[in-house]
Amino acid sequence: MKQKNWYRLLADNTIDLVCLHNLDATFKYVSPSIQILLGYDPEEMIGKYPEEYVHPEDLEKFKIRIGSIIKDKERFSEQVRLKNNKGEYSWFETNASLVYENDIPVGFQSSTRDITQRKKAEQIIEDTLLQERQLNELRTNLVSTISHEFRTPMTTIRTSAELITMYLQNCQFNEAPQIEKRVKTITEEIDRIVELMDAVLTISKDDAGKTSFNPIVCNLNEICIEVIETSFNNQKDNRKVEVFFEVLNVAIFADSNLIKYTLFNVLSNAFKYSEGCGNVKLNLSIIDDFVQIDVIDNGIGIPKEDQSKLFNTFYRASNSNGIQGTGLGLYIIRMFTKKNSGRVYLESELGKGTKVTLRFPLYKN
Amino acid sequence: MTKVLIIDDEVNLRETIAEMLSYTGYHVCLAKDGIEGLTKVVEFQPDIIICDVMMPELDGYGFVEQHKSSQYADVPVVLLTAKVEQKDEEYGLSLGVKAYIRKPFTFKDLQEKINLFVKS
Repeated sequence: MKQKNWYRLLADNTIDLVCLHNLDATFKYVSPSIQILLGYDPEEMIGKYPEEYVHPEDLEKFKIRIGSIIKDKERFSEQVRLKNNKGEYSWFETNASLVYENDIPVGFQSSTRDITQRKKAEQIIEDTLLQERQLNELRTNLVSTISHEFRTPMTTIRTSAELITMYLQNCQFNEAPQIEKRVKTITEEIDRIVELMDAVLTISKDDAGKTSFNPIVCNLNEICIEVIETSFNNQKDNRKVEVFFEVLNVAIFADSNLIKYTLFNVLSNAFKYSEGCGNVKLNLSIIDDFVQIDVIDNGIGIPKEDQSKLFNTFYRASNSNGIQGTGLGLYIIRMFTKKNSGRVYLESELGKGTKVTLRFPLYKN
Repeated sequence: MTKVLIIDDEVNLRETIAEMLSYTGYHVCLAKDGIEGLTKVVEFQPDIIICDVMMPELDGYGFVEQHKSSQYADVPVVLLTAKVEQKDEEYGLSLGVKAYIRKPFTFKDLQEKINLFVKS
């Protein structure tokens, strides 16, 4: 009896709402905190159904929960909106469990807490996330639109420059070589803008989760050969890629377009930063459960202090002056390698050369 | 002389391409969108069509669809476009165009494609 009084004392003084219900869910006891929480007199609620106070949109799930507690003897915890004595709704969390007497269920008890503040905070987080998603979307669309809209005027300028060069080749006047040199600069700079636009578009698309990624089992040796034959077999200075495959027909599970793009960029960097320093090497080998591609050049190398920052956007090594680049290549290389469950490593010595390593897990049947 | 029809809504670009091709020995005809393009195919009877994708009235994809169901369907089409994504290229090729050239292009690219697809 004394214990019962203690419980009653707790229930009467808690700031949460504590109730006892009959098996038909009607209120048997309602703690005085109902006055502060919803403005009702506890006595007036006895015998009423809790459903009368639940928001119509939450009613169905609430009824299901009440049904399950009696039928399946399950505890439940549910968030619902309850109506106060002025007809306004606010969010509450209700926990309920069965009450037994001599092992026979005689009703259930519920404790209910005002979660308005928590709901408000959740709503703010949700709104912020939505806003961030919308901004990201907007940025991607903006970058994509700029890329489209700039491309045509860039093409007109580039084509005009090419046309001027053609005219120059068939005319005789003293300044022709100077004009040709200037026109070449126009073309190169257009190419640079387009390259930068493409890189920014690639990154922005990936940020928005729109990179097309369709991994399949692919033959990495064949991909290497294809990239080399398509893009590096006709270098102006006759340099070549020396290929060494330790193993043939190496299978990885990856998106072949992204792997091609990655390899193209790694090889293109190797050539770009090793002009006049011989061929570029590509070695493919197996290490444990991984396949490793090393692309090695004997070029200008990268100063130690720049090496860790090279994977950041728009960062270029301090000795890259005079060699064109966007500062986004390695960032994209890492982005695409990661997407294909791979990793990139970089080793370099200033004045001696650079080795870029791509490592992917081997595909196993 | 190879007859090339150029369809592009950007006047500066289509005129530059036309000038370039004329200068290098092609016979050129111009159209400002897909609808004019369809008429010019009949009038000019080109050996190859170089067509932009994003155009008012009838765009490049729409042009190709109508062209492919016409009696001139054998005349090869090369799309020349600022739509640079892989899926755009795949869609273009699925319509039956011969090649998909991304803007900006080099004259060498364009000339190679023309020479490749024009029946000698």
